[in-house]
Amino acid sequence: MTKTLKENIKDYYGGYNLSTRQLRQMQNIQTRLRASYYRRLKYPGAWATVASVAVLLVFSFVFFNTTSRRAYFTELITEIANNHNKNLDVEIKSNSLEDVGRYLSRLNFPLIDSARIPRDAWELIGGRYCFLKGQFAAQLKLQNKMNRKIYTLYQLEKPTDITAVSGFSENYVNGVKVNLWIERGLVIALAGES
Amino acid sequence: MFSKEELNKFYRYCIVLTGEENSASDLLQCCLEKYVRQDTAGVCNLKAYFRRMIRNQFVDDQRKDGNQHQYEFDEECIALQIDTKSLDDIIIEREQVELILTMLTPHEREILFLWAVEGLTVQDISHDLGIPKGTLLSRLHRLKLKVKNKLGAKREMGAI
Repeated sequence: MTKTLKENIKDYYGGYNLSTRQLRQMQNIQTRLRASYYRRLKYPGAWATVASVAVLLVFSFVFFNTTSRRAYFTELITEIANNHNKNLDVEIKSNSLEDVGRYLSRLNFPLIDSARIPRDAWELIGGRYCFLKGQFAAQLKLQNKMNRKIYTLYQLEKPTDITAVSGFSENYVNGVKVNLWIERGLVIALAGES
Repeated sequence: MFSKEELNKFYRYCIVLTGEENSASDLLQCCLEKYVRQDTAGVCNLKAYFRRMIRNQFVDDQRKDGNQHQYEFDEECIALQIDTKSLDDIIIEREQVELILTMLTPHEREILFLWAVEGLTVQDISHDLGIPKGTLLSRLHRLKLKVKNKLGAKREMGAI
C-alpha cells in the first residue's frame, strides 16, 4: 500500500505498544517512587536544615567561647598585674609548697608544683590568699635563684565555662610581665618585672 | 504521572533510538525511575523534558558501550532552503518503511519520528534537540537524499 513517508512512519511506530505487564510495571514505578518522593518532600531539606543548624551552633559556640575566653584572660591578667604591683606581704612564710597549701585550706584545689617552675631555679618564700575574677586564688611569692628577683605566682581554678587552650602566653600590663598558662586544670600566672 | 498513552509514546521514542524493543523497554524504565525521583515542579513541558532525559540516557549508554560514534553528528550549520515539506513528497510502500529505518542512524530516525509521529515543526525539533535550525535543515536535506537513494537503489535492484 502506497502512502507518504510521514504516514508510513506514523503507522509503523504506532504498531509498537508496551505489553500489559510492561505497562503495569511502568505505572508501579511511577506510583511507588512518586510516593517516596513526596515523603521526602514532607520535610524538604530536613537534613540540610539540621546540618546548617549544627554548623551554626558550632560556630556560635566557638565564637562566643573565644570571645568570652579572651575577655576572661584579659581581665585576669590585668588583675594579676595590679595585684603584683601592690607587693602585699605573705600570710605564711615557708619554702614548702605543702605547708603553704595546708595554710590555704579554703581553696577548692590543691596547689601544684608547676613543671614550668623547677624547684632548683626558684625558691618559695611564702603565700597568701588573693581574690581573682571573683574567686579565691593562691598568691605565692617566689625568688628566682639566678637573678634574685621576686616574682608572684598565682594559681586558681579554671572556670568550667572557659574551654582554655593549653598554650602559653606572655603579656605585659602596667609594667608587669605576666606569663600565663593552663596546667592540670588550673590557671597559673607568673608575674614579675617586665 | 504519565498516562498509558503517553508511556506508549515514550516507548516508541525509545524504539526509535535503540531500534530494538527490549532495549527500548529498559531505557524507558531506567529514565522513568530517574524522572519520578526528580523535582519537576518548575518544568513547563514535562513531555519534552522526559524525552530529553531519554535521549541523554541513550547517549550515555552508547558512550558506555563505546558506540558513541553512532550518535555523533557534525555541527555544521548550512541553512539550506528546504524544510520538512520536501520529505512529504516521498511516497513509499508500507513494507519499505522498516527497511529504510534500519538504514538510518538513531539520530536520523529521531528526527523522522519527531516530525512524523510527534508532529513537531522544524522549529520545535530544533528546540527539542537543542540544535540550530540551519543544522537541522541540512540534516533533513541529507536525510531526504539518503531515503531517496536507498529507495532508488532498491528499485534498481528490483528488490521492491
